[in-house]
Amino acid sequence: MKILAVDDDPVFLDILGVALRNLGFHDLTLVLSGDEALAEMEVKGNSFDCFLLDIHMPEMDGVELCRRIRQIARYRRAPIMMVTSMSARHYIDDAFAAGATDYLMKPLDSIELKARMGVIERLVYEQMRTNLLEQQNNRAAGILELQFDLHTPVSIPGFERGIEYLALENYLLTLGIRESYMSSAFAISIRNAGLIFGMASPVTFMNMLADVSSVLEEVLKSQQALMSYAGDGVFVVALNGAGALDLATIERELNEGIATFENIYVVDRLPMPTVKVGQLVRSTLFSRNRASRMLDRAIASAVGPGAERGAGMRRQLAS
Amino acid sequence: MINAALVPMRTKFVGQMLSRLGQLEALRCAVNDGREPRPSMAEIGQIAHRMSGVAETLGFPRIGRLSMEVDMQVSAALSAQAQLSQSWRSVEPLLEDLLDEMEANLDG
Repeated sequence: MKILAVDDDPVFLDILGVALRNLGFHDLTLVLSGDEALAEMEVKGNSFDCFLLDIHMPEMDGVELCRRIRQIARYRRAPIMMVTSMSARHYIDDAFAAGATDYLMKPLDSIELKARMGVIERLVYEQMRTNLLEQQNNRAAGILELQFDLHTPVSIPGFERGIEYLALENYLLTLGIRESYMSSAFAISIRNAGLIFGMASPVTFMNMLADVSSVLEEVLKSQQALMSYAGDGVFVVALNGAGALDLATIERELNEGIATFENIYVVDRLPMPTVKVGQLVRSTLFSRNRASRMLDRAIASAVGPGAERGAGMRRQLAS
Repeated sequence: MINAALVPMRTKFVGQMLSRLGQLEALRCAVNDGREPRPSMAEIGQIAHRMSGVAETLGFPRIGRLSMEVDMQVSAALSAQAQLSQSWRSVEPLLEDLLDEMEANLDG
């Protein structure tokens, strides 16, 4: 796995290098600033699998660098782990919103680093598979070879506010370290996702997800929320705090918004997607298990009995 | 006892300690004298921030803890609405402890 790590402190960077090599990661590029990092990415033939970015850096900070990396097409889904200290933890929200996958606290704890890098490694593997599928699809030039099953939490083109499901869990975990323990989540289930998946090609199904996600972004544009596609036609929305939301209105607005795409579905001879919004689930978050359970409960509330089908796979990825 | 691979970094860190002591002392005087107190405090925070990220790993847990506290207090002081001089009163004793601890570890 080829790693690019950025920190303005050369001593920390050396320590990080030693720790990563001890874990078996030898293909490292270590640089002292965001500008150097971007320059490394522009070097022909350089391609990185994941990034470790210090948040607190002069000039271009880690959050801005994260945003810039996400703007580069081939790194749109590459895992980005933020490295931060207690004093900069308030920037973690911004980092997740800018596309970070996870975070790591300074000073470095080798056990924590090992666990986090293990998750990153699995993510890289998953994304290599997804990229391969996309390449196949592009090569086909109209002959649809894209293959994924209904449970796969695919990356939806154009879903700008959507983050990886694992990143959503990681975001919820950050709330526990910021004296802001209360968090809430709700899920949106496309009720007829299974039916549409059975009738449509994978690309058409993906387009349907893109339709729903664009309406979701529009309806929730005034909410400070992070959202993710969890597979099985289910989206999850996480909020910091336990404020009241009018979920019935959100459900109505979502279905009205989706109805504006009706002509497309008529032409494709597919049923219109209809969504159900589940209950708002609240939790005090202290552990990965609790974050994961809260999301599972939110999903179960939107999907109803037997909703756990995709959760096993997601937990496998996160464990 | 730290990992043998970290010895060069520890040596480097100790080597930086003397110049950091001088810098922090000068910045403390600047704040006390009212000479650009805000940027001076910000610089104190930056130095403490850097040390807090590595000190414990390199075998200096007390420097790590104190520098983290200074970093956090400075960060809170600079973002608070309260008078800077008021916030400085909570930062300075911590900075004093940090400087003492750094002095005690100057020879590694």
